[in-house]
Amino acid sequence: MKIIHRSSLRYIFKHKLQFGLSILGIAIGVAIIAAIDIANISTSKAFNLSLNSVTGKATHRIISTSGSIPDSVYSFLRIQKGLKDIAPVVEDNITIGDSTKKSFVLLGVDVFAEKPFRDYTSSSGSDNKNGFKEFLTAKNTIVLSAENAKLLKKSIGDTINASIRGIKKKVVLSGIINNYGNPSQLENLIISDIATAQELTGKRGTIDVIDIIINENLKEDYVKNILPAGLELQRSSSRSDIAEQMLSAFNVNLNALSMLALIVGVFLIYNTMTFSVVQRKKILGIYRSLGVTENEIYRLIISEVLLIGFIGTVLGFLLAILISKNLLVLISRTINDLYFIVSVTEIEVTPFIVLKTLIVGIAASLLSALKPAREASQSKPGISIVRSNQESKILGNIYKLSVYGIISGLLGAAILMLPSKNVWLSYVGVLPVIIGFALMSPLVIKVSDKILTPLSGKLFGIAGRISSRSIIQNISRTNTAIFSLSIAVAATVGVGTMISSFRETVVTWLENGLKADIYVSAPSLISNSNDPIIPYYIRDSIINMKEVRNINYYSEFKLFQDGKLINILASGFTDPSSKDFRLQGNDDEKVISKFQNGEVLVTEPYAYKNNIKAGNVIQLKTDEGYKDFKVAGIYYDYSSDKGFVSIEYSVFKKYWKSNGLSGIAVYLKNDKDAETVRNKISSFAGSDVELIIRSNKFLRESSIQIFDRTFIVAKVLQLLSVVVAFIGILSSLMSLQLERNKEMGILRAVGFLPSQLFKISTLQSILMGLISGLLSLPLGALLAYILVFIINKRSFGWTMQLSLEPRVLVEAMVLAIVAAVLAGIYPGYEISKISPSAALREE
Amino acid sequence: MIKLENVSKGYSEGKVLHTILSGVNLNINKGEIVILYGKSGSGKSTLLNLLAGIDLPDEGSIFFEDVNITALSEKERTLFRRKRIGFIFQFFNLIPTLTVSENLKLPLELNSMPFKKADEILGEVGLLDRINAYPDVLSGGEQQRVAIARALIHNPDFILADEPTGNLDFDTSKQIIDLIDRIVKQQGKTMIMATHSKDVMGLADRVLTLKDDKFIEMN
Ligand SMILES: Nc1ncnc2c1ncn2[C@@H]1O[C@H](COP(=O)(O)OP(=O)(O)O)[C@@H](O)[C@H]1O
Ligand SMILES: [Mg+2]
Repeated sequence: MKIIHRSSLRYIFKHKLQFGLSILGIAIGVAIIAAIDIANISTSKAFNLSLNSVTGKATHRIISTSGSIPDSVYSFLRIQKGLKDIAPVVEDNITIGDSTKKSFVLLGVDVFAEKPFRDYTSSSGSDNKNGFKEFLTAKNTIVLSAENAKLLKKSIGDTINASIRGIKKKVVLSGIINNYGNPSQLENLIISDIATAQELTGKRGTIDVIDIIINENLKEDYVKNILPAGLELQRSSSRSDIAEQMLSAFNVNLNALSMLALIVGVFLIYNTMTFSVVQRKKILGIYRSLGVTENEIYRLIISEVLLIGFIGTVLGFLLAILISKNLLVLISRTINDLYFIVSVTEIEVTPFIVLKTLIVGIAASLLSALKPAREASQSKPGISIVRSNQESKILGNIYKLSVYGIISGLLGAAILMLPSKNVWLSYVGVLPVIIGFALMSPLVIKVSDKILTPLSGKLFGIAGRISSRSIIQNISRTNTAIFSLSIAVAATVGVGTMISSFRETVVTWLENGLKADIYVSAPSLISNSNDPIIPYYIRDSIINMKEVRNINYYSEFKLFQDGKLINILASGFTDPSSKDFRLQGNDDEKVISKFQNGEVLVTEPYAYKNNIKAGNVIQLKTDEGYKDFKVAGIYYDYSSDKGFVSIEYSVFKKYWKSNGLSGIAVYLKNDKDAETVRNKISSFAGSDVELIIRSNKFLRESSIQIFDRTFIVAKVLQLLSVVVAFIGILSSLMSLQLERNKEMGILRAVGFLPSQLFKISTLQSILMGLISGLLSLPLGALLAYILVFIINKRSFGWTMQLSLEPRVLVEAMVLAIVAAVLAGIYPGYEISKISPSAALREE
Repeated sequence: MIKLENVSKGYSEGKVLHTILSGVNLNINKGEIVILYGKSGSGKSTLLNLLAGIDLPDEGSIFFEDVNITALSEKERTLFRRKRIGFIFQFFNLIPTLTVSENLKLPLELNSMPFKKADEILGEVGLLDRINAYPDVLSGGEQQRVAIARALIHNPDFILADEPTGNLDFDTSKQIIDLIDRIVKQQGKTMIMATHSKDVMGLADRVLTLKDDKFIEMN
């Protein structure tokens, strides 16, 4: 090792705490980014794995626009058209287990057609104890992976309770798959014979999917041509494409939010490096006088930062692996709440994540060191007035910096106002806004000094003046500390306001939209999505109840159309006055009557993503081929960003086959008791149909609960960036304390008590917190505005009301001051311990 | 031999230009020991910094033998200094995070020279027993002896010393001057030393002092 590097290392070791905090800051920032990446990739990997085990080697699948394919189509293709590599599949969600329950995908297969498709269904690919033979002889038999059998504590021959499409059944475990490739591939899967699956799911005579292998011998066009009407040939991969599309906005926002802490971390390293350079100006000057070149000094500082950045990044990565398990639980729960079912237990660390984390961590460290390294390289021997030089440089440039700040802010505004729907672009626009504020902060500090110094002088005498003055006298140091704290606090204000605005909007929407007394829905594994599985007779019995005034009912279903997924909501009501759409615009009556006459309504997210306006026409693939539908209007829907096309129920029935209802909203006559009606409904549903019957209040509460759950991750990330900012201000105050040793020593020498020095230092922390808080309020409000009206709109298409609560602002102020004061305790204690003689002896 | 041609240097304080040196012409011969004498703030360090190539004159040229250092790039000047010049300061300026021996090895490393000279020269300045100590435990006189060793270790042709005794008591100063006298003279180096005290004059071949922003011969 070179001697100057050895000297650097010793310097770093001598200031362990300082550099340690920097490393910690980078580590936390990096950990969050990597943990989010790990969680996202693990989720998508798990989803794709389970999808792959369902898909097997099928390149394509034949599906029906209305959801089910008659058995006869399969035999038509196989026997009449002579297609060999095809296999029928019934696929549905099932929950099984007695004491321990777990949700699975039930895959009903024809063992004889399976061979080319899924190797685990044949004994060549796994050791399955011949469970598949039992399929043909015994009723309701299933096969599980060995891991799942163990989890459910079941062995071959056991009978297990099952619940499928709301109906309770019993199944028999006839086989266990051992030693099959990657066990997590079968983690979500139950396999049964296709006839059993049809029986269990109530799909007698129909299948869901026909898997098919398209290759040189069997061309895509040929298959398309021989398919009966209402069927579509789809690439197998389009399912994961659709899943990815659904999650893209969710993931972008998660990724952007995960960078917050690292941005604060960059300020932290910048601060530490600037401090270490200023402190070593003399050493660096000696190097220069001995003939070390500017470049060599530049590289020396950069190599120090690389070391710190590298250690921080590696630590951060290890930390990421630790926290990603917990994060995974939160994120996959939200995906299960809002989008689709995925069960993830294994965290997945890919080389891509390792590489990306390394690059991000080290690049962030390098970025923060560029300026200090340049300053270091310009050190000159013999100039001892550097610090005050630096202070006067900032003070002299306050107005220039402020003008740059305004320009940067305007640049950000311009980027944000670009007519684009790109979410990343809006985050790119936020950056210059933040930088603009950073450049304005010296001005704010100067103005604050004008007010605070006389004020705190009046309140606390000389000690008060010293506390306040030294903020501006050490502005090169205090500025970054104040500013990084204020970004973190502003982010808290912004994200907090965004969440509360969103919540407020949803609550109002629920209040206006949920007016029925009782809601009946089918059990579903995804909270905001219900399969249409409630038999029609239930609706008819409810209408006929004497307590019931009128009802709304709906079926939700997925239309696969040209590789895209369109969510259809068929909605019927017995009385238009009880319609529960919150429409845009003012002529509800007219829109509803158009809707009843065959036009459709679309949700706001759908309209935003597809550029649809009232009066436009959309094409939907019905059982009779493509049909045009005019859009009568757009309605607000905050339950999901998937986007829905809503069709009047009788119109829907004309074009599509349907199996049942997803939900029924029941309006009672005035004096009727909800609880009694509830019991009645559940009694005529019988014991083998599982229905969820919820009161208005309960449904509203559980919707809000899901909402709150969705934002836990955001809140955690935001809190962590405050932690990094806290470390930042702690580190700055420690640097300040080290630099002010001499000044404080003089104060001790002229008679100040240790407790007075502690007071000076604490008062200074309070003032810095106060300035940070003041600075964070406008920035926070601005961030809230951008998040609510630009980023949220572009991500999900929702219109929300901004609700900036005074409480949030007060909390921000308190947070800034408390963080600063807590961070000031240790440096203050160190200051109070200063021995005057030692401090004065130091050259 | 060092030659200054019409060298001027000033500092601007706000809008006022403060002239320190103007039209200085000097010739310093090889092996000569020249003392710059003058009160504090007169411009001695300014001149030494110009000679070391740490600062550039506003006007004029400085030649070391055939090399015009004022015409060199910043990097070339640094490399010239690294190889040809040894610097001794008033405040010793040892690197606090390096041991005595590492401080000495630094110029050797910069010039890619073998380290073995370090012990030898420490013996010469009488500090072999402090070889692994850090500078902060050494007395002022000891620190300055290490600094002298560091200035000479890579065998430069020119030694620049800026008030090397300015921070030392009388007896210690005397020791340091003896040391410089012994080593520098013995090795035949060219040395320029700034001082504001008369005690060290005996060392000099020539003494220059500042008058009207010019250095002139004192007698
Ligand atoms: N970097 C600088 N900027 C402004 N003035 C300087 C600078 N360096 C030296 N001076 C001024 O130049 C004059 C000469 O300084 P210097 O050469 O250090 O004197 P000496 O070494 O003789 O005590 C002094 O008035 C000093 O204030
Ligand atoms: Mg001087």
